[in-house]
Amino acid sequence: MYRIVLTAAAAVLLLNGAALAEESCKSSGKPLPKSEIEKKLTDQGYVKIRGLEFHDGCYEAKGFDKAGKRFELEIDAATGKIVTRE
Amino acid sequence: MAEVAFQGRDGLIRVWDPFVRIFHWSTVGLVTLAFFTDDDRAVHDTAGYVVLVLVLARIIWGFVGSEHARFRDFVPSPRKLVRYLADIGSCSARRHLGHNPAGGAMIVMLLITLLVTAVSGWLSETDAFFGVPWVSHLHHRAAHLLLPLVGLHLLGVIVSSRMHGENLVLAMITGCKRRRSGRSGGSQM
Repeated sequence: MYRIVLTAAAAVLLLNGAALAEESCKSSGKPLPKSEIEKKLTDQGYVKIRGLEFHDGCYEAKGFDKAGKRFELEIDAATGKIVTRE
Repeated sequence: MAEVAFQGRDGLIRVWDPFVRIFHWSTVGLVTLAFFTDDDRAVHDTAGYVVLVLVLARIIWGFVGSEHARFRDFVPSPRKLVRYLADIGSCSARRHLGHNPAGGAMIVMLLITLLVTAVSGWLSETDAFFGVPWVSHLHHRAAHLLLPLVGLHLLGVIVSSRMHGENLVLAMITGCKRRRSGRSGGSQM
């Protein structure tokens, strides 16, 4: 039994390391300033931006669009292009 | 209200009532599921909501449940906790039928962390808090704090099982423990 529990404990601690190394978003070049990203998003109808954060080369934006629908975007930080929309 | 002590074969006594056990193993399963499905909203969210309901029920059960399910029975004072940890160091830690002071402190931390994780996860799906950075940060932090806590919890289970010659994992399945410390008789491992 110890072995099973020990294995589980080890697995959990390993997971800990894996979980902290989160996925990164590939983007080359200098990131655009937040204000510029915000402007681009607003122009595209993503009007109510709740959170705009920079993570490993990408901006992540969440909020509500013109129609009041939720959006969750990944944006190439260098070009300001939307990579994925959820 | 207190459960009548059921004493059966081999001096076994009912320690963990059915709800405590169902809560424990359902939480193990659902948190694991939620952990691996954070990109599958439907599954992740459902698992999280069930965990939230379970944790709230467990907290109520901590006031009205069976003897060893109650907070009164296992939430230690800081002094008691420090003393117990020192006792482990000097090999004189006493066996507890319910949670020992270190285990009790662990459960308080786990319940609080589970509650914060589940509530922040739920909030992040409401219109009022969707996309609000501090809510999702809190959710991630709390969820990731669960990992070292679970690791410590498992370590505590091993140490305590070895110290007193009993199988605490089995006890959380069957609900039964020996009335007396396992060193003197019977093998359960």
